[in-house]
Amino acid sequence: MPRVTGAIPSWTPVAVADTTNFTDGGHQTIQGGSSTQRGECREVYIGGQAGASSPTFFVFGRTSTVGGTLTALRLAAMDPSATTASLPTNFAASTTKPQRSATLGMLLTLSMNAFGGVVRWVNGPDEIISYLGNTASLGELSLNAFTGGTPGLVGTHIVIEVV
Amino acid sequence: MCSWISSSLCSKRTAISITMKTSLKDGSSYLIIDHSESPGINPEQVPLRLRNSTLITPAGQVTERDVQFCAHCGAQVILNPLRERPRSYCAKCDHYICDNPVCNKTCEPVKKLFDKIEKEQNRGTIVLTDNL
Repeated sequence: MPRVTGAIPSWTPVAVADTTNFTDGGHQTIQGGSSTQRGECREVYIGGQAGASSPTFFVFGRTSTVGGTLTALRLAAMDPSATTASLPTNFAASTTKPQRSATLGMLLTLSMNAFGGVVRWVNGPDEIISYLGNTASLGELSLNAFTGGTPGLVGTHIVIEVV
Repeated sequence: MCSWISSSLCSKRTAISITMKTSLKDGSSYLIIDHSESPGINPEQVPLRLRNSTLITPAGQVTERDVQFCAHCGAQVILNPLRERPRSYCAKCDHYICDNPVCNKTCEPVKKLFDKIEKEQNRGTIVLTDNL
């Protein structure tokens, strides 16, 4: 099945509380490409680029309000022959802002210092984070910062396999 | 039933191979936090709500861990290699579960819920519209 990678080479997360609007440019979110699409997250990578110590408390999880009218960012097929009718959308800005779910919003906590820190999570064959559809609360997976710390500049990518 | 196909993405598993699952830890996700060239994170910097689930990697250290998800609630469980007390286990799921008492009480896997929702959605009996 098509495997795609959504990358944002340089951005600064904006820390928000649960069920609070994300800030444009301050999160990375993947939204399902259709109401029936199911995709699985294969990898989350965060590379720190800050110029001073920046403890950043990333969380990766679901949103209880999904983004609307999305500004799509890079989403590259990892296999050149991979084509499908609908791919997920990688975005960081939207008219309706996503909100981190209070119950499903923290599937992974990826705390790191953005001053030289690197975090990589790779799914195991039996340990899969997936999305289903493109509506709340299962249709989006979001990488964003939890309140606290001083979020710093990072580069990230999320690898998704549409199944 | 016991076999799984390893992911070609993981650095530890570079080739596609079929391997017998010999341990509950097999098939775990992999997490690396590299603070070898970074000031790292100190415990007092971690927000209160994240303290139980955050893997703290101090300056100059690299942490690699197996990560599993609770078979029932789907919560992340970072396996502590130094843990001595037994891990909670569900014989029906044949999988580790988290220490949450609710997950230890009944077997209600989140994966089954997902499959059920997907099946119902494909049948057209339900439509996902708003907050669950």
